[in-house]
Amino acid sequence: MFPKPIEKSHRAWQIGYQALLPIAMLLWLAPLLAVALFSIRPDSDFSIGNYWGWPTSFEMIENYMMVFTSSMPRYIMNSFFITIPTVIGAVALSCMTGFALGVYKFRGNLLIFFMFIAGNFVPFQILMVPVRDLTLDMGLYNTKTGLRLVSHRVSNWILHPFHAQFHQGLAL
Amino acid sequence: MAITTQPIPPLAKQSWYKRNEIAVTPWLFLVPGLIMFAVYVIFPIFQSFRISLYKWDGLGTLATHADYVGLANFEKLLTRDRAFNTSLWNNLKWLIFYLAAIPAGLFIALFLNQTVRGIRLYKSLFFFPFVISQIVVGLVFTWFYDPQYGLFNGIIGFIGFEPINVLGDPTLSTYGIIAAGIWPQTAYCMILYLTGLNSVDPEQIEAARLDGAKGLRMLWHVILPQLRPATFIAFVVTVIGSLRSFDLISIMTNGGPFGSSRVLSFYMFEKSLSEYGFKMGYGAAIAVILFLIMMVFIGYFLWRMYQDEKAASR
Repeated sequence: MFPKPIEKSHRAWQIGYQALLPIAMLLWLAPLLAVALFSIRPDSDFSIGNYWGWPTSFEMIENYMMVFTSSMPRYIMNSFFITIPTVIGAVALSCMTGFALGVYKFRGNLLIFFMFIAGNFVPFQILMVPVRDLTLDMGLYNTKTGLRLVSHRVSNWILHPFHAQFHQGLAL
Repeated sequence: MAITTQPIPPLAKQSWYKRNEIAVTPWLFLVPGLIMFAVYVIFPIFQSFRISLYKWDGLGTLATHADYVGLANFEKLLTRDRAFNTSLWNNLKWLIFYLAAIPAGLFIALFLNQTVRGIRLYKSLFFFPFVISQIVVGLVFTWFYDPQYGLFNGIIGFIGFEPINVLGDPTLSTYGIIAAGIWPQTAYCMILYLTGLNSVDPEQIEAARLDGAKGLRMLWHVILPQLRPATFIAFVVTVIGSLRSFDLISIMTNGGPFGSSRVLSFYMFEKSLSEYGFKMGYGAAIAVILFLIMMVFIGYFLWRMYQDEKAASR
């Protein structure tokens, strides 16, 4: 294992490492923590420029009540309406393609696999104009179904050979 | 395993599907995905190439409402469009500076590659910036750079510099956005390297230790060569990610100030689909150029994968 396992080094360095971990993590996530802190600040803090200091008061309930009584719930529902069908469709499609490509050996196997990978890396911009037209032609422009169909492009991600490993990386 | 007691029927009596099962089944599984892929990826790519030869505002159909102009769009882009030049340069800046995410990711991976209590939680939290939306990352960094109250100016003020309006300065805005982009990308590279470090051969490390190698020399001569697959994937993903940058620019500067932080992907969107105009043909031409640039890297990636595949099957 590299670097040298921490258990094999001095006791002092072990404690130092254990102390360093949470500090490093706080620094790393500082931008996000700032947002979390912003969400409980009162408006007055922003008008007087108190962005990074201690909040003058904690307005968590007020702020979040305001969010949930605005049109946000509708937007979040929209997210679900788009995301859930898309994920189901994408997982179904990529399971099938991944199964076919991974289990069966046939001519063109590698070619199709490479085609999917290439398609996954292609810039969205090359697809934008024609896909907009296509969606218009199908009468799905400005509909959720149209958006869901377009989002299926993401499906190819699951085909990535390193994707499985990738999650392994987190688990280990 | 059940043992077949019944005699297998002669070949001619089996149905067509039974006889060709092995050959047909993979295609049955592939067909839905392939249709989706053809309709939403392959076909649009060819169409974009065609549209790029027209002058078209997006109304009506290409056949009835567009003027065929040949390569005029490309000629204008490459010779007379200064905004295109800026975008291309900015793409190059993105490409180069974004690569900093790779060593940064390696550094964090080395830092976290231990087995202490709770390390899995730390790894997950370090990965977090990659999972959240780029929109959020963009917003956070916009506040960070805020010329009046931002933390950035607080810090450089503390060490005695004049405040800088990073996102409002045409020469700095792109670098400011790239720095924001490096944050999630580093998290991504970190995961790739953590996976790679797991598969490093412990015997080689022990052997190297006995030979007196340690620290940077060990990293350079023993570890990094074994991490080559991870480095390769990190490189490809980072390069492609840099060329696809769009969200951050859109959120942080919206291409400004004076269009100085535009990149090709953003410029294309601006020309063809935003409120500034519906120049579909011109936009498609920009997209084609971006596509060709990216195909160089995609081609390289696939070529390397093909070499590996060949070596593996030999």
